[in-house]
Amino acid sequence: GGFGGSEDQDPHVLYTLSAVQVMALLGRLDRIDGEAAARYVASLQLGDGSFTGDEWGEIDTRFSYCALSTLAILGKLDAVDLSGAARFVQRCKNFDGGYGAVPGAESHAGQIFCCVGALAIAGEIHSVDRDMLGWWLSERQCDGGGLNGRPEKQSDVCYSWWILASLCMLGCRHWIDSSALAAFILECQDRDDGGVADRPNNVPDVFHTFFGIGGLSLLGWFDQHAIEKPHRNIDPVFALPVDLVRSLNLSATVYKDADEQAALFATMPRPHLDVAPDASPPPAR
Amino acid sequence: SPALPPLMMSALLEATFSDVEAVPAPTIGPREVVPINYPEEYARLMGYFRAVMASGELSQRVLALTGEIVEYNAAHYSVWALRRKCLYALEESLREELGFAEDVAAANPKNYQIWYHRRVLLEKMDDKADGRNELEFITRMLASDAKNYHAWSHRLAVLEHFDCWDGELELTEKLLEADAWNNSAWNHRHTVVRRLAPDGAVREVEFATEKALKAPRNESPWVYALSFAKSSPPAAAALTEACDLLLHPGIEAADRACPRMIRLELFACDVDSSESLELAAECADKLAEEEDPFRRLYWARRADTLRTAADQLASAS
Repeated sequence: GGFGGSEDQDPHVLYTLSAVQVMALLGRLDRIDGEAAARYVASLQLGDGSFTGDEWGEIDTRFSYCALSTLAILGKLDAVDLSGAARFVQRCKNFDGGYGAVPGAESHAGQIFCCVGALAIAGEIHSVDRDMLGWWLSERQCDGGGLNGRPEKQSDVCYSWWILASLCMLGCRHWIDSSALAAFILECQDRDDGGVADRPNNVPDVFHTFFGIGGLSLLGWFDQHAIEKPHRNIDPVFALPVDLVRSLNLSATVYKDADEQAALFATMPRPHLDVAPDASPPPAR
Repeated sequence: SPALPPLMMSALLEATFSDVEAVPAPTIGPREVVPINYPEEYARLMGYFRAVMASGELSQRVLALTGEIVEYNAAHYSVWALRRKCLYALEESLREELGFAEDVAAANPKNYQIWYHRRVLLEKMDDKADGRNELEFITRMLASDAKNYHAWSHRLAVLEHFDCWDGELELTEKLLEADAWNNSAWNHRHTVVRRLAPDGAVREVEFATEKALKAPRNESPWVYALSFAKSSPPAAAALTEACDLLLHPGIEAADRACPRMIRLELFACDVDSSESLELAAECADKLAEEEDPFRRLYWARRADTLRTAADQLASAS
C-alpha cells in the first residue's frame, strides 16, 4: 500500500507522503487505495509510538511527521496510535527547547518542523516550550537576513521553510525580521533560469525553489507584491495550498498569530482550529 | 570488493549478466515531468538491477552489481536493501562489508543510507569490539566535519546499543576545546552527562561558563548551562555570577545579549514572584532596545507576557 521513490523501488514513508501530496494537488486522491496506504503507514509504527521509514527499521521524527501528514490527508488518522506518536515526539525535545531526529539527537530546524507539525496534527502542540523554541528559531536568523538550521551553521534558503513554518504553527511568525528574510530569498533566485538556490550565486535546484517560494508565501510576500497575479498561499502544517487544505477539510491545532499588529505583510487566513496564546492544555482525549 | 576503475568494472559485470535481459526504465508517458539525466553506465546497471529485483536472484553477481550501483548513487536505498539481502543469503562477512561501506561513506559523508547500513550490520553482528571500532570510525569522520548530524546520531545509536559510554565526556571536552562553538558537541555532552553524571550540575555550569565568558556571543554554552541551572539552585547561583560579570555598561551591547537572556530565564523561573517576573520583563526590555534589537518583536512579546503574569500575581496577593 506504500509508495517508493520510483517504479520498482521499495516503499518508504517519505515517498508515500510525497505521492499523497502530489495526488492531492492534482485532485486525484480517489485514485490512491487509501485503505492500503493507511495500513502501510500504520504498519510502520512501533510500540513506543515512533515510526520507522520502511520495513528496515530506521527511526526518525521525520517519519512521524510523514506518517501523520499522510494519514491526515487520507482522512485516516485513526489508523495509528496518535497519542503514542505524540509521546515519542515529546521524548525528542531537547534542553534548548528544540527537537532532534531521535531522543538525545541535536536540535535541528528540519527535525523541529517535523516534530512541531506532528504535534500540531496530533493535537498536542501545547507541549512545545513556545518561549524557548521561539527564541531558538528566531536565533537562526543571520546578519544577512537568511536562516540557518543550527547554531553556527551557514544560512540556507531551505530553512526559510523549516523555520518559518514552525514559527507560523507557533503563532510567532513575526519574531524574525520578515523583510530581511524576504530579501535573502530573493537574492537566491538565479536571474538566468529563474530557479532558487540554497545561497546567493549557487546553482538552483527544485527543492530550494520550493522552499524559497514556500517561505515567501508564509511571509505574505505574494499578497504584498503579486496582488494582481494569481497565486495561492501555502499552509505551514501540510505544505499544501491553503485552499486545498480547506477543501480537504484538514485540520491541526496551531497557535494564533500573537503579534498581528506587528505584521509587515498581510496575515494569512487560517483553516485550522486556533489555540489562544495563553490557553491551558486541552483535556486529555 | 576489487578496486577496479568504474568503467572496467561495469564491462566485467555486464559480461556476467549476459544471460539476463536488462529491464529498461519505465516510460511514464509521452512527456516525463522530471526526467533525470543519468550517466549511460548507471542506466545500464539499473537495467540489470530491475531485472534481478523482478527475478528475486540473490547471488555474488547481484552483490557485485549493488556495490557498483552505490558508487554512482549512494542514496539508492533499494539497492542497499538488496545488498543486505545478498550478504545474509550468501553468509558474507559483515565485518568486511563495514570496510566497503567505510569507503563509500568517506566519499558521501552526508548520506543517510550508508550510516543506516552500518548500523544494521553492527546490530546484526552484535559484538562490542565492533562497537568500539565504530566509535573510532565516527571520531575519524568527525575530524573532517565535527558537526555531521548523521555521524552524531549514529554515534548515539552505537553508544545505546553497546552501552559503551566511557571516554565520551573526554571526547566532548576535546572537541569543545578545539571549537567551543560546536553545538553538536554541546548537545552530545548534555546527553552523556544526563546518562553518566546527572548530579554534576555545578561542574557543568562551571565548564560551560568558562567557555561562554571567552566568547559571550556563543549561545551554545549559555543555553547548555541554563538547562542545569533551572533545576539546581547552586548551579543557578554560579550561572548568575557568570552573567553578572558581563552585565554592566562597560561591556559591548552585543556581548550582553546572551547573559541578559539567561538572567531573564532565571528570573522567569521564579513563577510565584511578581518581582522576579518584573525583573525578567526589564531584561526583555534591554534586549529589545539595545542588546538584541534584531529580535525586538520577540523580546517585546516576552516582556508583555511576563508583565501580564507579574500583574496577575500582584493583584491576587
